[in-house]
Amino acid sequence: MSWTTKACCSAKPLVLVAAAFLFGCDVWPRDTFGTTDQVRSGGVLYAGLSPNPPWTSMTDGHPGGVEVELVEELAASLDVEVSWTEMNESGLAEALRARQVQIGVGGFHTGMKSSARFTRSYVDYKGRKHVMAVPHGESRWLVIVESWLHDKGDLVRRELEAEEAEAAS
Amino acid sequence: MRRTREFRFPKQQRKVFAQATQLVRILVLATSISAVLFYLVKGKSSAMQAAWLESLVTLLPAMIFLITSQFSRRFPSGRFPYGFHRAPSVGYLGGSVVLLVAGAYIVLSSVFSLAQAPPPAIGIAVILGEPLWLGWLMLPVLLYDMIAMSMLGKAMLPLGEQVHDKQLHAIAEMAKADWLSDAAAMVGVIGIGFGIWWLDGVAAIVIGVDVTKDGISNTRRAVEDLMDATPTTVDRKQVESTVPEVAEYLRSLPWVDDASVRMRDEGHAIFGEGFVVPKPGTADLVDKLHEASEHVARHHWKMAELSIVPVRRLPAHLEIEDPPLPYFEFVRERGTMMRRTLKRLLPRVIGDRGKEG
Repeated sequence: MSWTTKACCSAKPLVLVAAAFLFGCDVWPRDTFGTTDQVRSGGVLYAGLSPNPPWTSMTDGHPGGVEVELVEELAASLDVEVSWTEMNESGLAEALRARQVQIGVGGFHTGMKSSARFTRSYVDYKGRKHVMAVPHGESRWLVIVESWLHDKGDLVRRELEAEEAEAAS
Repeated sequence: MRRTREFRFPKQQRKVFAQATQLVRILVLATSISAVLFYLVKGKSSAMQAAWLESLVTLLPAMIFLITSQFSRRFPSGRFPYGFHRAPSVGYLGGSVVLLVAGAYIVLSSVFSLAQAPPPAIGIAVILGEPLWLGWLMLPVLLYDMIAMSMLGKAMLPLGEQVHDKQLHAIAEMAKADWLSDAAAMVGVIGIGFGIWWLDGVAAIVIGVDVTKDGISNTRRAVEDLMDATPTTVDRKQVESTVPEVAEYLRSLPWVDDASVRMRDEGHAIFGEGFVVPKPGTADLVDKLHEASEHVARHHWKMAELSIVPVRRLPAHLEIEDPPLPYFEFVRERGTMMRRTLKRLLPRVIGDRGKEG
């Protein structure tokens, strides 16, 4: 019994020190497979797109839609170019798992079954919580994407409502 | 039908028991808070998932204790002439089995997800409009659980001993040992933070093993209690001193040739029989028996009722036996035995081969 007491008392300050140390680092959390570093050092963000208007579309090799705009803006904030590839939903999930693309969009929402890692939802639209997809195990990249998206919800909703009103009239 | 004497704690123990019950209430509250916080911040980490499940299942024994201890000192009735002292033991068995099953579930699902599921990642939460990495919330929540549980466990441990309540002791022990799972979950979260994704799954397995261990040892104890094992101290390391003391007292009576006892523990109250062989020609036997039983009641508060039975010969005598080693010490002992045997055998086997070569 006494060894547990000792271990407990000596573990607490250690954990505190470790936590304080880690709070000081801005490179934390890290990726498992280095997606963030690849994007930054390569200067290109490989993005997969599964057409699903009004979120995403591909006309004559030109990507469009609100989520495409969002990814373009994210890339601009990271100072990199976007390289788009069109694929279907399951192909996109596969490409994400193989880390051939670093982000996937296609009007995904939390109600969908997918083997991809979804971000937290960034907008509630028509009762659906919409998300983007990223590779598994990449905490730093996930934090970058989610932090970028977290305050874009209202903007996206307004844009979509405006588009809908335009189409109706 | 005759019912047993009403069991009441002496004044000091009554106060301690009320204190301990209060602490269990605080424990239930603290654990519920942990469970809610864990649920809110657990994200996709399997270590956090395991810590959340653990806080839910460890809530159970404490809640069962609060409910059943209300029953336990209820007055014996015509239908339950021995009283309700066993109620907490019955609840304890149920809670322990749930712990065992939940522990096995956590281990299996963690092994499965470590082997099959893609590496986990932890994203952000938005607090007051600001994005914050969830890991920064997980660590303080785990630290809170660690400090709250070990403090409450430490405070409760001596109280359980003072009122001779094994369930209380078990709950306190579990709370006190909870820091291990919290530390494991911290390692898992920090592991994800460093991109060492498998640490998360390993931490979840450690938590699962810890819960399973609690489940095994507590189920074993609960079964021992319900099987009327000889009363032990709450830490179950030795026989409760009341047993040999009462036997010694009966043997020391001038009108007694020989005596032995048989006792069982029903929660914080001990019941049993004392067999005495009166010296031939003892006068006023009934008065003497009464006197002896009153003496035991006065001097041993844990003894709820002792039926003293005069007999010609003692029933086949059984030595009072110390409880066996706790399960994991038992396993360790076995391990040493096997190692010793191997050490003795291996040189022979290898030596023979050496000669052949």
